[in-house]
Parts: sequence; structure tokens; C-alpha cells
Amino acid sequence: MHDLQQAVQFIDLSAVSVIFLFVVGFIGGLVSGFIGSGGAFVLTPGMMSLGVSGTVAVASNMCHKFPKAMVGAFKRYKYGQVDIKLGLIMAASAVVGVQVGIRIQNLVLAAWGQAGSNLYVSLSFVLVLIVVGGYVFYDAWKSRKSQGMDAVSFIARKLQAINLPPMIHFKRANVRISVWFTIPVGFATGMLAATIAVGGFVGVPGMIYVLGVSGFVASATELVIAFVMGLGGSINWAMHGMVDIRLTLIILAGSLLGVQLGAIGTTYVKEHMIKSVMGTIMLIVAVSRALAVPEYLGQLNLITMSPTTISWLKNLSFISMCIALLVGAVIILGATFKARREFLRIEQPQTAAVANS
Amino acid sequence: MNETKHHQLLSSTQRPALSATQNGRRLLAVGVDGAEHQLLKNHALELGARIGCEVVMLTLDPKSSPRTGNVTMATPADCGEHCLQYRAPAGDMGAAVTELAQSLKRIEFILTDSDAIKESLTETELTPVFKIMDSTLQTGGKSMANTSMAPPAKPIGKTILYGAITAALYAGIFWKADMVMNLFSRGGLYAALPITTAFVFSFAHGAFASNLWSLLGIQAKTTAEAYKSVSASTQPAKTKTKRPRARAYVNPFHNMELKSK
Repeated sequence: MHDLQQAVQFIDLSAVSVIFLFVVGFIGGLVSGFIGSGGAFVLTPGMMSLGVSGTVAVASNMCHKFPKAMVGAFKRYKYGQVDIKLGLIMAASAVVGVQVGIRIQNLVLAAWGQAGSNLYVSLSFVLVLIVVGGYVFYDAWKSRKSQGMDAVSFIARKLQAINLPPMIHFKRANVRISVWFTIPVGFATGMLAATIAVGGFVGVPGMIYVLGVSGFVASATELVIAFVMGLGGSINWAMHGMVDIRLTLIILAGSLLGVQLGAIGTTYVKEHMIKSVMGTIMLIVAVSRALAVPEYLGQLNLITMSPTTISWLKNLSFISMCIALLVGAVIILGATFKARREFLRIEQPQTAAVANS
Repeated sequence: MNETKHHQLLSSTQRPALSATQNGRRLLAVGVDGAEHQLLKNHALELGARIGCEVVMLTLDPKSSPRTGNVTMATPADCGEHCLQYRAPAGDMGAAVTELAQSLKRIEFILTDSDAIKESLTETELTPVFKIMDSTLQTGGKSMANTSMAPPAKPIGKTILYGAITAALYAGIFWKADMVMNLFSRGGLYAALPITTAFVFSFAHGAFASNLWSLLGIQAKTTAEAYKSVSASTQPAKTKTKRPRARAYVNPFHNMELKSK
């Protein structure tokens, strides 16, 4: 621990880096408040581009994640969208998933070195995000065509029909399902969180398509899981003295504003908007990670590429990640304000009538 | 009272001629004079316009004695072309409604804002009586819809208070940044410091952010509406299958064939 601490150099903050972290924090918070996860995948490489070491970037990012998730979960709980029981059961299995994920990471690292580990992370990113993100996007498109009438998936209906004790009724999610089916979803969420740092990309679709929870409840409940995992991870990193509290607080300043705006947005939009935003972000991030794969293949001497090309691809990968976050934010703000305008158009004459009386 | 011209309703010469554009159908709105009466009036006018009915407003005056008079017409009618306004003593309600129903004809139904009026009019069995269900008229209990109807107060004081607390916390941390970083990165039990700080900041700054959005007019839809948008997920919709109807076919000429044999 002492060696690790000695190796850490905390950066000097400039006005540009403060503004950058605040803005990315705000946009990341907005996306998290709306779809339950996201944002963190840009922050870690973003901080590293400012000169922060990898471990401090991960630790500071995680330390801002749990208060953000807590505020977002509280806000959405007030809107009646959080199933705490489901969140805690999923979080318990996610914690186990994180431990297994870290073990696998260590095994890959020992066998193929840092480049092999990076390749494993990127390929996991690409594979999971294309398969899951593609399906989420397709489902969102389908439900948009059917005027937002979301049906419970075939798998969820079959699993709910299996009476395997202990059966649990999740009141807010309006689902009765065996606890044995919630555990694999939570476990996969934790494993993905340990691998690509965004467990929600599996957790939310898992809750929707495997457990049969609505998009609103799934994305809100994911914030409970993120809080539990984030708190555990932050304590771990803080015990190693890796948290740069200045970075954490600057990101938190933006993200606490964003997460509440994202949570407010969910009360105005239709359910398919959550899936649309999630699917879009996942697919763009998949492209971004795919652009990073050649660099790691080159490091493993599997392909040969010029350093200039690799540098270009690396920059393109980071830019497309930022684009993913920006596109998500634009869709969220656009959909929220459009739906809100429509709501006020209908609501205001009634309010005026009451005020006049 | 100065603006109100009283006259006998039953006199056919004084009976008002309403526009014939709306098929002559009428709805009668009965309510007690007071602040809430305007809401019943608005509701009746909106409903009348929607279903193509003329509106007859009967305002019951609780102050005037039942002996003082009959149903009187209030002029000028401030409720538009397809509306008539009458007044009657509250004690004479049953007689007044009967009088109006007989004199004006084609009153399809009665609308009211009070349970008591509804009960006593239902006993007369003249026409169907409906009570409007508007949450703003309810005096007891908190209706879920109230939150969206009443304009919320702007939390200026709270925003300033939490904003000041947040600013003070940030200033404190960044003013002594070197000392803070030295303490917070020691690891071990000192891990409690960054974790506690993150919690404290999230409470103060979270409350500030929430109030700030409210102050800027960006608020969530009411809880009931938000929850309504959450689709029920478990039960698949049951499709109703149409039962085939039994049909019997009787040949009307079967007897003739038998007879001819």
C-alpha cells in the first residue's frame, strides 16, 4: 500500500481542467439520472488525459459515483420508480460479481500482460455493447412504432411462470419472480462493472428483458446497485489513499446538478426514450472501443500498424466516447423539454381556471 | 342585487329564447353561491360546449329566506350566448329545480358540486344528477392531483441557504487544499475522511441543486402521473376470444314438403 501511495502524484488543477471536469460531470450525471448508468466511462479516460494517473482517476471517479447514485436514487424514489428490495438483492449478487470479475482480470493480466488485459476489456466492451445495445435499440425502435406500448419479454414471462422457491414479489417493479433468476443478472452486472466500469449496461437491460421490470423502474433501481457498489469500491480505494478529493468534488458539483435533471426528465418521457438513449450510447461506445482494439493487437504483435495511425485511432476512440455522451445528453434534454412543453400546454389552462376561481 | 332583475319564470312571455344551434338540449348546473361556484360554472360551460348543450345555471342563495321568492333570472348573463343564469333561495331548491325543468324543457341532466344537493335532487327523480369530481373542490384530505394544479411556491430562501452552505464547504476544501490532500490520501482509517466528505457534499449540494431546478421552474410531474407512466409489467394482456353464437336455421317450408307427401 505504501509503495502504491508513493507512486501517486496528484496533479495541479488549472481553470481549463476544472471546467472540463465540471461539464463532463454534469453531462455524465444527466445520463446517469436518466438511464441509471453511464458517464463514468468518459470520466476515467478524460481525467487521464489531464495527466491524472490511472488508479487515481478510477478511484476519484468511483468516489463521485456513489453520492451521485444516492442522490439520483433518492430523487427517483420520490417519483415512485425505485424498487429498493430488488436493488439490494441485485447489489448483493453484484458485489460477488465484482470480486469474480477482478479475479478474471488478474488472471488475464498474469497470462498476457497489460496489453492482453486491455484487449480483453475492449473486446468485452465491443461484444457486450453490440449484442445488448443492439437489442435495446431495436426494442426501443419497435416500441416507438407501437406508440410506446412496451410488452414484457418472452424470457421474462417464462421465468416469472417458473415457481422456484424462494419466490419474491417486488412491489414497485410489480414483478413476482424466483430469487434464483435475479442473482445471475446482479452477478453479470458486477462482473461487467469490474471489467468495463459500467455495470448498468448489463444491469438495466437484464432487469428489463430477463426479470420483466419496466424501463423506468429498471433504470431507477440500477442507481441503488451503483450506490452500493460505488460505496464499497470507494472505501477500498480510499483505504489505499488513492482518492483525489478535489477531482471528486469538482465532478460531483456538475453531476449532482445533472443527475437531478435526468431524474426529472424520466417523469415526462415515454418508456421507450430510456431504451433509445441507452441503446444509442451503447452502440457509439462499442464503436469507440472497437477503434482502440488495433492498438492492443499491435502491442501483442498480432498486427502491425504505424504509430501515427494508432495515435489517430486512439484520439478518435476518445472523441467518439465523448460524442456518445453528448448525443445521449442531447436526446435526453430534447425529449424532456419537448414532453414538458406538451405537458404544460395541456396543464396551464386548467391551472389558470383554478387560479381565476 | 342591483344588477339582478327578478321576474316570474313561469310567465311564457319572459321565458328566454336560447339559440337553436345546439339542438335545444340543456344541462342544469346547481350550486350554492360562493367562491367555489365559479368552478362549477366553468366546468358546466366546458361540458356544455363539448357535448353541444345549453347551460342553465341555478345559483342557490343561502342568505335569502325560502318565503321571499321564486326562481329569478339574473341578467345580464356573463356566461356567454348559450347560457342562462337563475337564482333561488337555498331552502327552495327542490321547487326551483322542478320549476325550471317544467318551464325550460329538455333538461338532459343536472350537474352539481355538492353531495347534499345531489342527494336531495336524486330523491326528486327528475333527471339524472351528477356531481363533478374536481380535486380542487375537495376540502378534506390531500388529493394527488392538487400538487399539479396549485402553482408551487418558489424555494428562494432554501436555494440561497443550501447554496451558501455548499459554497462554504467548497471554499473550505479548496482554501486548505494542500492540508486536505495530505490528510485524505493517508489511507487506512483516514479513508473515512473522503467518504464522509462525499456524503456531506452530496446532502448540501444535492439539496441546493434540487431547489435550484425548482426555482428555475424545472420540476417533475406529480408522483401520481409519473407512476402512471410506469407500465405494468407482469401480467400479459388476456385476449378476449369471441364466443361463437348459436344459430338455429328453420326451414319455413319443411311442413309444406311433408304435407305434399
